[in-house]
Amino acid sequence: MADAVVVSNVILWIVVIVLALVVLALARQVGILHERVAPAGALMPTSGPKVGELTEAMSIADINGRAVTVGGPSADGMNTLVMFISPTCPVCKSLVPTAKSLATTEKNRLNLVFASDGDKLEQHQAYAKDLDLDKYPYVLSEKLGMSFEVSKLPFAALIGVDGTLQSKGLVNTREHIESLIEAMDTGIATLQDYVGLAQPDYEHSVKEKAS
Amino acid sequence: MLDPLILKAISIGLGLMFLLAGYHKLSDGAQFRITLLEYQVIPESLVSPTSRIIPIVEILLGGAWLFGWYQAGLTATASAGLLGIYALAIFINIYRGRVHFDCGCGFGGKAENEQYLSGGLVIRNLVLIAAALATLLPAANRNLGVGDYLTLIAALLAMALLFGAANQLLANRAAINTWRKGNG
Repeated sequence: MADAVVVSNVILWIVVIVLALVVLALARQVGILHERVAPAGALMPTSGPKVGELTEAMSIADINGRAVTVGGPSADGMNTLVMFISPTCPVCKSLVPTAKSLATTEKNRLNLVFASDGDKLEQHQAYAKDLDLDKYPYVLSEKLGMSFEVSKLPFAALIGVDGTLQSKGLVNTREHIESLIEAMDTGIATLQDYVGLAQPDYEHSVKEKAS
Repeated sequence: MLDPLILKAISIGLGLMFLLAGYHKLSDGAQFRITLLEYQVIPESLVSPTSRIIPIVEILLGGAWLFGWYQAGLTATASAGLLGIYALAIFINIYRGRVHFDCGCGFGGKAENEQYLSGGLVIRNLVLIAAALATLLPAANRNLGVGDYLTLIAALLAMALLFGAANQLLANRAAINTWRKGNG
């Protein structure tokens, strides 16, 4: 009996230590992952309307035939996020739920509008049904895409309450879409601007004081 | 009544921790001065002398724990006091909202594994204080055998690993908290 207790204790200690090692390694990996996933915003093309420019109000029919106004000063005091997607774009499909979840988080100040183009209405209707987009307007307009000079999908443009373009860019992850909102909130258009703005003088002052 | 084995595990664990912490602060004095400045709890003119005294106190405490000079109670109360001061300094800065600097408490200190301040660090210090004060309880008298020493080694190893893991998780959480709020 005593032998059994000793053996069981030895085995348990080994298991405890191995488990502790595993926990440490896992925590370390999460930490490393977090560092490697460097902050990156949406890729902003230089062509098309510039940030701060007033967007043109466009009345477009959505796939269910209702008229939707995109651009221009907003009537209900909400910002508008226009997501350009397409049934033929694989990344769009994975990003649509992300955009919806973000729109829910920010629902007190953000309207989400999906935009696409192409003439096969049934295809778009099936796509919208598949991705459960009933709650959001889904517009088909070649002109809208042209006005923002959308060349790659999924592309997003954030239009402020006053109708000016707040930010835009090629979005592939949630972080990218968030960067558009962040750009609007902070008024800093790109990560490059932010790094140039904030970092150097902070580091400098602390090091100087200490020496 | 506290089993002598538990007493030993606590004292060796705290001893190693203080020795490491003191050694780390001595070996990178410039970094430690920056950390002290960042806490903004002592006047700037006192930063330099304090940065020399703290590591020496930590090493003395570490030695005292390792060599078993804890019976008098001075080591335990002094350790609890020092850890309490750290916890208070962290708490004050969290209250002020100044959390984005390295706490100087993660044995890393290098830029790539900075650990920002968080409530978790205060709790960590409170746990350590409780462990230090637990040694003031009366200890039972029992002769330790070979098996006890093996248990001691295993327990110390597990404690060290879990302490490291807890630190890492706190660092991760602080890093994740810098992300946008409300990500479901």
